[in-house]
Amino acid sequence: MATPPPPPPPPAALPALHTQLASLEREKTRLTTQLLSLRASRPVASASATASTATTTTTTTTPPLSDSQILSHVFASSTTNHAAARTRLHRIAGITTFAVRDPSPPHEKLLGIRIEVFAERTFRIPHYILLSLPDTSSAPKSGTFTIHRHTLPPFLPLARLSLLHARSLSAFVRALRRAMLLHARREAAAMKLKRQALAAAAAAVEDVEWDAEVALVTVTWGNGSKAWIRVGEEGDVGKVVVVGGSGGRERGLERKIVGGGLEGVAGRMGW
Amino acid sequence: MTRQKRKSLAAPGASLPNTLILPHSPTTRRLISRLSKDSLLALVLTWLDATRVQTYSPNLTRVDDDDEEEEEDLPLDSVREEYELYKRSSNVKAKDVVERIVEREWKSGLNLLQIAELDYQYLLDHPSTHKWTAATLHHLNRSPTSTSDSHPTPRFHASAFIHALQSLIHPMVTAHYFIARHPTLPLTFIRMQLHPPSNTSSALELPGPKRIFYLVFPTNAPGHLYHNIGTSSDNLRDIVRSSIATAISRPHARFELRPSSMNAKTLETLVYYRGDGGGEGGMIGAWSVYADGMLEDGLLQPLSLSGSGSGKRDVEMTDTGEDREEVKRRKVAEGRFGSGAIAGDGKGLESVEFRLEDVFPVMPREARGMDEDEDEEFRPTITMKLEGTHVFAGIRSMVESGVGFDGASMPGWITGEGGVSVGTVRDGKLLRKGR
Repeated sequence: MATPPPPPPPPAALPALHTQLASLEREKTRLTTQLLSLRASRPVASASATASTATTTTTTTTPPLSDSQILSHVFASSTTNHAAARTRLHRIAGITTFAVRDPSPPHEKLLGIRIEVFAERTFRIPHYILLSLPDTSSAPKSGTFTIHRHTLPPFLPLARLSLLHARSLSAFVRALRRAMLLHARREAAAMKLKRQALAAAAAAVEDVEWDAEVALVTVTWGNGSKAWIRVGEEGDVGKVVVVGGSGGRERGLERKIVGGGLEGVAGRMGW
Repeated sequence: MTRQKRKSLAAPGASLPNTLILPHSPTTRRLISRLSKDSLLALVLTWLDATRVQTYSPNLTRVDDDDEEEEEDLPLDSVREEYELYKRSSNVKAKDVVERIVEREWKSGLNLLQIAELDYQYLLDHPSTHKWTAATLHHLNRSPTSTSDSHPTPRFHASAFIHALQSLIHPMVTAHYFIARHPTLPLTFIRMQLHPPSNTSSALELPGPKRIFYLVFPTNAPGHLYHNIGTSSDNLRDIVRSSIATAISRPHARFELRPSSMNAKTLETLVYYRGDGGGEGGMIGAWSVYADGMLEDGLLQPLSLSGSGSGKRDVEMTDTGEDREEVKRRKVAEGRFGSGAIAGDGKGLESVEFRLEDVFPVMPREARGMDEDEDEEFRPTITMKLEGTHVFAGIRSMVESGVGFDGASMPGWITGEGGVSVGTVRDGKLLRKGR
């Protein structure tokens, strides 16, 4: 607290710093990957050195490591690395499953489903659904799955989809992932619109806001005009109302916004 | 068709206007005086805003001069300045500000909007003064054949909702409505103040607290509603409760209001359990690791260098036996309660009630020495009620200190992962009804 914070850099230097930051991040990632691959395939000799130092820290008197110990250490580390890398590869597919044991007494076994969505150059935080499947051994093909717990946001039509695809779990999960993907795209489009609108000085847009579902986007101008844009599930612009500063409708603007998807609103408005 | 319907809805009497003035009485005076000085001054300064002065109509006549000729009103800015001065001066107490409001600017009384704002401000300043019930709006599916959109979501639009609600309850009562957005939580408040219908001409007076309700709609969780109408039966409350569902219904989508086994004193708790705070999906307690999003590394991040062994070493590092037990208990508690149930996280439940309907452990038949035909299982109903400032945080700390609860073998509902404050446990499992 005693040292004063460094003075903020002049605004002109900010983009340069950002690019520098990005390149450093890339470099860090590259080096980490290199280190990992070296570890996975390093020779036995080097492994014995690190393995022995690692053990001496915890126990003071260690008998010299045998060859089989060194080998098993190397195999173990390379197997974990391979397994982790393979899990990553599978997860990129978008939908993966895992088994979960309930920590509370009946200790039910649940099926976990992990849904991942890629948008805006990154993978979103995965969402999870935990279900219990019907006991197929006693009555095959009977009943349906039950959703126990999930991390999905409340606006996703979980109940409707689970009813609609009650017979097919894979269809249900795929429909759910589609809804999540569309939501991520809507959000990305809304963020892009905000960036473009605020960047365009001529537009005089004060703010662009949207609800959690990205079903309603509101644009507020500096002169008091306001636009309400209904966005369909697939990012298409539905109904639009633009009210000018004096309280009247701005039909011209409305027509401009309506003709296409949310993605293109900024382009149509000339922002 | 729809146009006609809308017209018939608009016909009954409108709600009471904001500008209707309530003369001062001990109850209205209490509304003003229970606010802190800062809150009150902030509110009064918004009332004296030049653009809104029409609504709040302060009395700006001079009082200090004896000159009757000088009829000129005080300029608004100078009045504002005086209140600004109060804010800075430590000599002026809240009582003095109240005195000034009642005797100068709003001598003849406060209007309904001001009353609502005073009450709402008090609610924001003291969030745990009400008892909130979480309710859900369930779709009433009358025709199982229609499959197209069999699960419509209730849509909420504050002014349309108020309009519909007013037309429903109008014959019984007249009401004043106040809409507000919570400053930090994603909630829309509707404050209803019910007045008896007869005295529209005579002077109004503030109804008792049993005639003032808050309906709170979470913005991002359609189908949920929090209210403080309570559960006690009273004609007017029943009418209001049933009207809510009717008012939010639309053609081909009728809804019904059902309580959802959750009562709490703070809205923050309800947003967590019955909103978009993360508890809605049931990822509470042991499951909260999933909701935190920190369970697994991001897909594009490089693989983590340290193996899974690092966590184990932490336990072994602590040498003394006692410490190891404590660390173990803390680990178990962390596994069972996750990131939730921490004192002071603002998501506390003050009262949790479970009805246990488990089979009474049966003694061996020979030992009983009773009639062999009596094979009926005996299920006594045991009600367990836990109270405190944050019940589940309390249980967590008991698990951590090794008192009363065994962290590893206790059932899930005692960790709060059931997501209810009132529940029935049967055969060791929490019954999922009304959710």
